[in-house]
Amino acid sequence: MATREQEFEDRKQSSFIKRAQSDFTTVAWVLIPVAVGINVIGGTLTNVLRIPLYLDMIGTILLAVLAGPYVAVVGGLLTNVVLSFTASPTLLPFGLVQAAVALAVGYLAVRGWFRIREGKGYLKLVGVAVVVVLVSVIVSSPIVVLVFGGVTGGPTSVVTGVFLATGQELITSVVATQFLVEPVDKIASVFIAYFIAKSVPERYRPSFGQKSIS
Amino acid sequence: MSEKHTIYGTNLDDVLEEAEQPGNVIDYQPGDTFLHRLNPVTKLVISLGLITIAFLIPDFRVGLVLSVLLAMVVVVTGVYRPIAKVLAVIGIPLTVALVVIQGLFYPENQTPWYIFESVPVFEQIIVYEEGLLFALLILFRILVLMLALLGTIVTTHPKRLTIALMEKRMPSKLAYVFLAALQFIPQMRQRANAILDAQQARGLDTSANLWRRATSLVALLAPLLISMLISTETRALALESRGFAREGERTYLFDVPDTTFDRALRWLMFACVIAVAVWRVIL
Repeated sequence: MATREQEFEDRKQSSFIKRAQSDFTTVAWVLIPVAVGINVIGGTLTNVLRIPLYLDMIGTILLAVLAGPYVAVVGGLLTNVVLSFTASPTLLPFGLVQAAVALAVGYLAVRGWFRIREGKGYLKLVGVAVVVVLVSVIVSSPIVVLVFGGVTGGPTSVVTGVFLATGQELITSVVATQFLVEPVDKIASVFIAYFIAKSVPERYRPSFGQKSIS
Repeated sequence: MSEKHTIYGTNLDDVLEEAEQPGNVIDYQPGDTFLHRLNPVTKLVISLGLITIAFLIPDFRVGLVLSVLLAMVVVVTGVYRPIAKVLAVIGIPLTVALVVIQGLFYPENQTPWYIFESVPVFEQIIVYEEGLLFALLILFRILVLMLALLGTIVTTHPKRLTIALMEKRMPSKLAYVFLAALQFIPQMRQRANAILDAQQARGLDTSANLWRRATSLVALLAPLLISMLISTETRALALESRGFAREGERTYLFDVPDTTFDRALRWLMFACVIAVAVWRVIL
């Protein structure tokens, strides 16, 4: 176990290009389309199971844990490119949220936030979820305001409308709405992604994922 | 495309269509129109350029003019059916939400535009001019975005798009990942349904309480991921045996022509965007 953590020590000292190169193995490339698929299918399955969440980031978080931040950025951006081909081009700008979350989760994975050995360790996952919520609110709110004028047409628009009706500014209303909606969704996504990542047999994990999870 | 390729006597486009599993909301519409013949990169550049212009100028009339032009192009080429479907599904709720919320509550609302008298519960409901103008601005911007990108997507086969992008030096691995993701989604959807059936047969309860249902998501997604990983290993071997990782010149099944007209259009679009940006900065 000590040697594994040692390997991530090397990573912290190597240059950005070296790190990125060592992350993009063939296994990692092959994982990208699968993760994109999981992002898209996650949304469909929540409909079948009638879970009132989006869960459209499980694949990206999974990729960040299994293959590192840079691979996950490619997967996250690609998810929304693919979604604009299969669902609606209005989803394209939200690729930036996926990319930002990918970087954050990948960084935390390097720092060992997904190495859990005892029951208390699951608090680490809550910590990851808090970071994911913060990052996604910070990145998605400006997109919602600048591109959509604060209203995306989904059910959350009603909440934004209520905040606006109480005399709040547009950006405050959007941020408040996001903080109401995102936490449950992102906590669920992080936990589900962790348990799925753990269930992947070691031989199918890229080398990054062999070090980041336990 | 103008040239007709055949494989064993069958038209290439038909072979491709058969190989594809449709089921996405936005499918490629085969055809031989002006839009289909443009180089995919040109279509992308024009789309992104028009979107940039619409977002740079804070006046809804620009968006309106661009939307009308784009709509005319789309209707003339006859690919409007899938586009209209997406516009209806995404656009109508968005329009309603934007007009209602911004018309009533936009923070800079001052001038009443229309007053609904004697509404129950509230005494009156005032729709404001500023909010409506803001809603229109956003709506036409999004309409430009949707029409331009949908027009591009519907008239461009993903394979042609990636070949055109690879000719513009996009790494071939990125192209593979994009095409594979597009192909995987219908496949994964089928597989997810099969896994759902199997888990239900084993007693997975889709009408249990919310917490149970949320945890059962792991029982659905984990087999999906692992089975995909196993099949992608085979895929990786197949790719490798055909020289996926090799460097150097490649030949493509399709020839995606990049004409002088395409190049001229791209530069024209580029110049327009720069001109608008400069004009916005100076004013």
